[in-house]
Amino acid sequence: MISFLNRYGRQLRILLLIVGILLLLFILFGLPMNLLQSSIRLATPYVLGSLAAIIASRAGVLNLAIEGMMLIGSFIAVAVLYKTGLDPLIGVLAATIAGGLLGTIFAVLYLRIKINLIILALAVNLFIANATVFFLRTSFGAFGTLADPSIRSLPTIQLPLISQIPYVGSLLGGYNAVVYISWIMVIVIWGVLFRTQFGRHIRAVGENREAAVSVGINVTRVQIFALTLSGMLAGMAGSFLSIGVLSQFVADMTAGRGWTSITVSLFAFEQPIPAFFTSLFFGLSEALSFYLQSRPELQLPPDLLLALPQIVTVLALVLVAIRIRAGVLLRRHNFATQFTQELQKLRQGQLIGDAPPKAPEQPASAD
Amino acid sequence: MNVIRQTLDRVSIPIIAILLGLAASSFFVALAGANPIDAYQRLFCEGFGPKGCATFGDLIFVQAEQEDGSFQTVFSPTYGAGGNRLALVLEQATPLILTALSAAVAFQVGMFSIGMDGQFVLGGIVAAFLGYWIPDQIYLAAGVTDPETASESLRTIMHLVVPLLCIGASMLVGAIYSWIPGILKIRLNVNELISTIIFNAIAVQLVGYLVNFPLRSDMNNIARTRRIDDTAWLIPFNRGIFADIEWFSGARLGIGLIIALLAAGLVWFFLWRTTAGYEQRMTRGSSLFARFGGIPSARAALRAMLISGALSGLAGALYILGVERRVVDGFATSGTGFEGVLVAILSKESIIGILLVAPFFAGLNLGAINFQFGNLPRQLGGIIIAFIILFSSMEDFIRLQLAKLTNRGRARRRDKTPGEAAV
Repeated sequence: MISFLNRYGRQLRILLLIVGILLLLFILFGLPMNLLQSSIRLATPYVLGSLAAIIASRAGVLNLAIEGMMLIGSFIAVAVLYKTGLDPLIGVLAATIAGGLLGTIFAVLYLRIKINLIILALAVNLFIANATVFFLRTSFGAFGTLADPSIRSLPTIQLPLISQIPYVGSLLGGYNAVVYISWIMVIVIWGVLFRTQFGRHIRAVGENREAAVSVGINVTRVQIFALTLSGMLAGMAGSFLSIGVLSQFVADMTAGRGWTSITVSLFAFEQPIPAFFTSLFFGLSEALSFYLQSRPELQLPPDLLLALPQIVTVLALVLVAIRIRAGVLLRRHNFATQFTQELQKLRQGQLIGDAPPKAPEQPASAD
Repeated sequence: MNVIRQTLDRVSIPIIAILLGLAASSFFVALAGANPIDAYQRLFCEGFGPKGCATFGDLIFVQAEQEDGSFQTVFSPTYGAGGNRLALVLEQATPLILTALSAAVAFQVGMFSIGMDGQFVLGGIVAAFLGYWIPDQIYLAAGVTDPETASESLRTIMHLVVPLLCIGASMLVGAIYSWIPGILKIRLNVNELISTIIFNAIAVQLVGYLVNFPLRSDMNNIARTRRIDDTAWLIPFNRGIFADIEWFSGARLGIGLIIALLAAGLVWFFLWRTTAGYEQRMTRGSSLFARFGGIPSARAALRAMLISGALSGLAGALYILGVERRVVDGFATSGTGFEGVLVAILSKESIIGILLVAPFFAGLNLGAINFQFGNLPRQLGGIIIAFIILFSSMEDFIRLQLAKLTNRGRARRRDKTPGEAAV
């Protein structure tokens, strides 16, 4: 198995690339346009959520409360707009701030009071899930769903130049502001992480905490900032769910998207730009599940279709784990073969110092 | 004396956490425009109190109306007229105890698996299906057309065998469903928290599908499966052996509780008195250290996951066979398995703690569902639980603050004493 991987690694990779490109071509040209558009739209919470997960885990804290941060964003966005008639963008802003506040509280509880991260995350998620429904009832008198004509959803924006291009125009144009903001955020987060002082500090803290302390980085402050930023992104993702797709709040409307976002970030090896494309794929799987549900002639059970994104998530988790594991095994194997070769040479009398030992045959590179 | 102090020390933090949790949640009650004390009285009375309970005092002693119209003070927990609510609490606590044990076993090996929910609902649906399918097959094989006419001896034998088969199958399914995240963690290092959450979601969707489509029995508004055969039913106390004791009359409390207590004893014995349990606890400390010490940590972790899954499956089976007797749509989303995880967290995985905390949570939920106070929704229960979990995990911080308080007091006294001496 390993020797096979070693010998045909390159060919295998090319094969995978070709399959990927063919799949991409099929997705782009074989699927109906409205399916593609809705998958790009539905990918937005994953784009923002995975960025939230990336920025936190780059700073060395696995943000497991993204689910709760998203939910509070959804709720606050609707709560601000209800009966006030404000611009929907204000709702997005409020959701972002609320998510950021929750992120700060989360960070302070974790870093200053030192609560176990997993228990803290479970408690925060549980609290938000219950508190949103609680306030829905006590403040708005609504049972599980808050919908009102005064809550307007975000308007769609036509991009001025791109909408003229025939195919690309309809693929890239006609979404609401948060979708475009999420695309910009991918670039921004990438820039922050890899091109700024703050990003370098974040990565340093995540890579090696002690080293970061020793060069004088205020680790706690960096982590609090990172978690606040993470919460803001998650809150914005939540606002997209409530006023970007629909214009209402439904109890527990995130439905596991926060957890999926964490998987997306793991799948993308915590890189913003791969995370964007992975999110598109998850958006596609979700859109596909809705699309198939809307076609009763196919006779597919809706509950099982709803499980489709989750099954994709599990497969993604397993895939990324296999990839990591295979990398480790490959490295270990290559080290072992190289070591044996050296040992054999020693046994055959090529003593070190006798003559400069020849460089061992380089096995096919295994990175 | 030392033992008492130790127990007090261990109990004090959960109790402080509960009080702080209630205090913090009272802020939300006040925000909703209700008086927290009245609301809590109502909540606890609906959860734990006897009939006619109105104040906290009634939780212990209540003025009960006698048959001749006079009132007499009785001890509430044993007061049985019309069925005691504590029986209902214990009925609801049974699955919580088992899922909490399941979580504790997984936590004790260092696996933060919270897949109890998925295993619970799968166990439930398996028991519900086999509960009528196996008897059907037996009747078919025995040539009985109407189950009512089956011979008494056949029914007795079936009543002994069928529930065992159902429970066994549920435990098996739960164990397998828990084994998958376990093997993914050990072989591929997949984060078990994320994988079990996703597995829960899949199980919930699957059970929802099964109840709505293949196993749906009638065109009832809310989809449900067929009722299990009487021979698969674990008859509750109020219909069986304790039919004359009024204390049990309001609840479907049954043999499930005894099995759960038995399971608690076995889990304790396993964890603290067997080699396998020792291996497990060592693996939690440091899996690498355990491996160097000659402990097969991967095997210990997988074994723990299997036991954990089987316990959750058992919880689902007992709930269906003993309480519900069929799966109704919405069973899958009830979140009983997740409550079990919270119980295990709050009780810090101690078995006795679980046995105490599970009824507390069950009563809190029961009270939250039933209480009608202003427009406070039942989610108040969830908020209280979230705060209690939060405060109980602040253990170190609370201890530090307590120590600071006592130290400051001591220091002040020390400062004073020399001053007074000088005067």
